[in-house]
Amino acid sequence: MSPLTKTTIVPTGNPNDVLNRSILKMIILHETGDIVQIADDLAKYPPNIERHVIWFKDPNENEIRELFGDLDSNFNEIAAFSLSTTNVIADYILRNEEIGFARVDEAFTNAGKIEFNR
Amino acid sequence: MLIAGTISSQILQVYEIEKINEKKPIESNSNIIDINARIEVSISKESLIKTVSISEGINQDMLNQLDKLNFVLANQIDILQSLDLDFNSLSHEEKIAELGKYSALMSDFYSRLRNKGNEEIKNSVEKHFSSYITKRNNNQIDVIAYPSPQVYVIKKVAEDAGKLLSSMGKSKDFEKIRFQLVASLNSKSGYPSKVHVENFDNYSEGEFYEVPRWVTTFSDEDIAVFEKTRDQADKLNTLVNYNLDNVSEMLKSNFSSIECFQNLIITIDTTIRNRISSIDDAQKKKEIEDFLNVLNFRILNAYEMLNELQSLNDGTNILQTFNSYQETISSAIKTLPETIETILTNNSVLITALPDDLVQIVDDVKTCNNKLSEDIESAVTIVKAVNELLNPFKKTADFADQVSNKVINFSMDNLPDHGYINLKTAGPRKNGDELVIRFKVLNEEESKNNLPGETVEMRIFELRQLSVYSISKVTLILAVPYANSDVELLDKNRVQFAPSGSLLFKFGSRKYRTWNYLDPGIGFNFSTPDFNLDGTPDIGMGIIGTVLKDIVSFGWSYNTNTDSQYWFVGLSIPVDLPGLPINSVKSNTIR
Repeated sequence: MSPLTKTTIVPTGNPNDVLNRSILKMIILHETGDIVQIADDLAKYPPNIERHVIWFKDPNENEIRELFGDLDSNFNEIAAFSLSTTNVIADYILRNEEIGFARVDEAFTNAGKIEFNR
Repeated sequence: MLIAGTISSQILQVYEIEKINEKKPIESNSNIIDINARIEVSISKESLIKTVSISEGINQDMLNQLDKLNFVLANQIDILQSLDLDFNSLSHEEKIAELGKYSALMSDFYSRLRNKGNEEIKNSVEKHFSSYITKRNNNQIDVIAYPSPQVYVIKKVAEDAGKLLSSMGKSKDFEKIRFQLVASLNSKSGYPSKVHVENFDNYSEGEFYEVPRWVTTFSDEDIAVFEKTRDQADKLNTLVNYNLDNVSEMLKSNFSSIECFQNLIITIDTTIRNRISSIDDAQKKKEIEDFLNVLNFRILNAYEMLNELQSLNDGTNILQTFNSYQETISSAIKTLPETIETILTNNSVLITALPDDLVQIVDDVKTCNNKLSEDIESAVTIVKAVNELLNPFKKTADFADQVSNKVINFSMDNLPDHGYINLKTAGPRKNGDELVIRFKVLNEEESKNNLPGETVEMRIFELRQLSVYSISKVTLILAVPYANSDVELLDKNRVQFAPSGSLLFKFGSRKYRTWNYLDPGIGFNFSTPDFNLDGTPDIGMGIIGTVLKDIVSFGWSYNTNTDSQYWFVGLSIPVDLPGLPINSVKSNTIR
């Protein structure tokens, strides 16, 4: 395990500091496997635009829904989801998925792809 | 390192070498090459390995895996190009736009990776990601080559595909396969002639001939040389035709030992059946019988082989016949005279004691044996002569390649990356002639038996003089003086035929075939009408335009003798008429 350098841990940190920036984000709701570390590693060495991770260590569903709007999937099934530079939810990573670098990077990528489709 | 995913479907990439270290690829949508070009033929070993694996049905498991890798890597170049951008130099809007483009490409990569059956590739993608992060955290990675994990992963997966390709190329099945690169020039005026490809064959280079770009003069001498050379070519072609058509008969009729052995077999057989029984001494009888049986066995063997050669079907390709003779002579028959000689030496004591009538058989054996030796020598001479005859003219390119044995068979290990062709040393050429480059694959059996193999890729290029060039042209024109011209001619006819010569400027296009087909030309015309009917040619000078390879021409001219103007048309049917100096183009002369 290497230190999390690109991850804001809530409640210690303020998620709005990250959400107000025009960068790609990964919101982690339920730590599954190494998802936090993997997301942090991928955010540490982004291919182009900056990436950041917000890890809600003890997420409250209502607060999350208030912050990000309605979620498409069952709250408890979500491991993480990616946000575009304008905070549009792009991709849900579910807890029952095989979570690895490829899947997490794909979620970041899908967040970037929203800009292509816009 | 072989980089997969960049594999083009073509094995051969052809470039025109313009200057040292400067080469221009021949676009796939244009197959026109400069008539005087130096050409580089590059072999894509990646495409080759793949094509051969498919065509020969080998390395199937690796081939399937390679297909999967290539599928996943389909847009790798676009992704890497997108990641190669200097992101920091862009404005925020530009960054967002580029992010969108990159993400669309990378998303495509992941969606291909998700396909069923790609689990192995997925695992290696994970490993490459993990490896990058570990190395990068420990400052053990070249961040210029691999600025991000995505670049690293794409390049490493491509390397995996490259390694797989290398393994395919080194597989046992692949080791048995041989490759050839051959080129020939298809000229409208004669046989296809082989063209030397440096690194790939031992052919000597052809006649040096540069199609002149600028022709500023024309003369009768040029036309005469052209006619003379064509006559020579015709004679040579006739000779080649005659010899090739009759070589089969030549070989057969030169084997006089066949009849000799045929008679001998009958004599020995009769002797064994009738004469031996009259010998009283049982032991001697047995020795003589054994001796004759051994001789008979050997002679029968020889007769069968010779007979086989003689009964070769007349319809068989002459070069196949030729190969059969070469093989049989060199393998079996060549050793026979010596074998018979040995049998006679080993039985010398017995032979001395033989009755006179049996000694005659031994003498007949010796005679036939000598004839066989002469036949072999004669056949070898014919084979050699035909070989030499075939050298400059190739009636059946594939077989001639094998017979002359000058095209080199390469294995994957020693296959050169490039071959070079210098068209200037490919002999006389004309606009519209074709250069054919073939890449051939020979399996173990074809390679062993000197068979032609399979052409897996053939590229045909049209040779043309490109950009601006000039030619000279001799044409018959129909001159029509202007109505107000005060010339004798007007009293009798309105028109007059006259010989004319033109210096024409033309433009050859690499892209526009229709333009090349129309082949327009414009230039100066000199004609010699006789408008004043004094029996002496006048001198006319003017301008001319031509189309359709100069078949149709038209122009305006001024008669310097009669001080009158005239227009003219010319219609040149492109048929060479001996003795008539029309339709002769100087740039086609042989120097």
